[in-house]
Amino acid sequence: MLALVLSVLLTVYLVVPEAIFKFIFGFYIPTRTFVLTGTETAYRAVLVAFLPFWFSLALCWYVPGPRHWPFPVEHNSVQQRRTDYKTVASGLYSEAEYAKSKTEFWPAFTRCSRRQVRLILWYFLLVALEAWITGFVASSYARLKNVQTDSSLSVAKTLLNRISRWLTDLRKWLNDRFLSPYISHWHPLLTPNLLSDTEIQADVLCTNEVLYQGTISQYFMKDGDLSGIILQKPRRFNRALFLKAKEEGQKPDKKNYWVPIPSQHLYFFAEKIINMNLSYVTVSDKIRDPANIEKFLADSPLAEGLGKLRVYVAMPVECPHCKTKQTVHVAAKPGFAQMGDQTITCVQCRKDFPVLVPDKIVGGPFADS
Amino acid sequence: MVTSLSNLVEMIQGGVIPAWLREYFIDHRDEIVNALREKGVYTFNGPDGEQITIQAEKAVAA
Repeated sequence: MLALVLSVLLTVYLVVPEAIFKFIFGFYIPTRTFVLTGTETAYRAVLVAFLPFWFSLALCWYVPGPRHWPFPVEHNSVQQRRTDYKTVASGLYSEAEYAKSKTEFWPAFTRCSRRQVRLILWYFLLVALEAWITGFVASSYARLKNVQTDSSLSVAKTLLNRISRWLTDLRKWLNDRFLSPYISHWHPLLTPNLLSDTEIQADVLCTNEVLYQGTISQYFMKDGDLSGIILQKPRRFNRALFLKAKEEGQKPDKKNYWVPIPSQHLYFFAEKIINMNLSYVTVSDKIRDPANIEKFLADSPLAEGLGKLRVYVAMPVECPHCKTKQTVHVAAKPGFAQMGDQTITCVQCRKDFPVLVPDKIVGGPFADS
Repeated sequence: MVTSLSNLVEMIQGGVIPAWLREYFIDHRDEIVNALREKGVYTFNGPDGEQITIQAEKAVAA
């Protein structure tokens, strides 16, 4: 009997909270379907349940409202609680003990049940709250990652930077160690709003050996895996004509063989897709980071035989004092993140002014010719 | 290889370039390669007036 009660408690305190967590978390981010071993299930469940369990226990023991509500118990002292649990555990453990304390057993059992139901209700509520918060943090991962501190006071700025770094580390740990197993890998790959000012362009090769291109607008999941995608502004590569032109000895330009498809939303079944080439591009056409251009070039066949390619971007800036247009040189330095304000001196009025460019300024300002 | 969420997001963020830049590289690939081989440097302008200069280390050293 005691074994049966323990397995019910294990289900209620570990298995059900994990299911609640996954369900609420799934409102924010598509969860992946996974089969865990018994040990992994227990490990995940303990991770999910740890904080809500201790908080709900503290609520039910010490906080005036939740201590008695819902399902209040009369004379709910610490001593009474211990005696009740002792009576119930003894009665469940052995028939002889149950027979001995039959008259006390059932009232104690009722009080314990009321306490347990109250604890479980608060516990489930806190698990749901935990899932809601972590779901929100995970869904806004990239946005929160790029939060810039903007303060003119250097002490406040340092403090804010330190807090921001600490929060970033915490979020990274939370996402990688705790939430990654729950999140479908298709979510970061195919969600255009994961990165602000970004859309995803896809080259899709299908089983009919036709190459399509377009912007991913929606994706669909079934049992945690991709079931389909919708492309906007789709076009198809006319390979047959391209090959024919090549055979005829011409030098066909690939860009002339893309045929627009008159469709706003072209659906692709995932099982018909052989592979997808995903490109992440900025909607505003702004260069997010010159280092990305260098990386793009280094990874492309363009760099073959040319050695390392270096990229410099000359960006136009305007002095807020005299409105003189000038340029600064920004270098692609791997490892530099989005730079905050950098101050330069105007070539015309010689007054300092802050500029916001995506990387470290290595030259300038230069007067526009 | 199993990757973490932050690695995946960093990988994606590290590959974000403007659409016009991608198109430009695809359309002018031969022109860029020839210029880099011959002069070691290639410059072009973006839609907002950004001037992008590519330098080939090997060609510059030669």
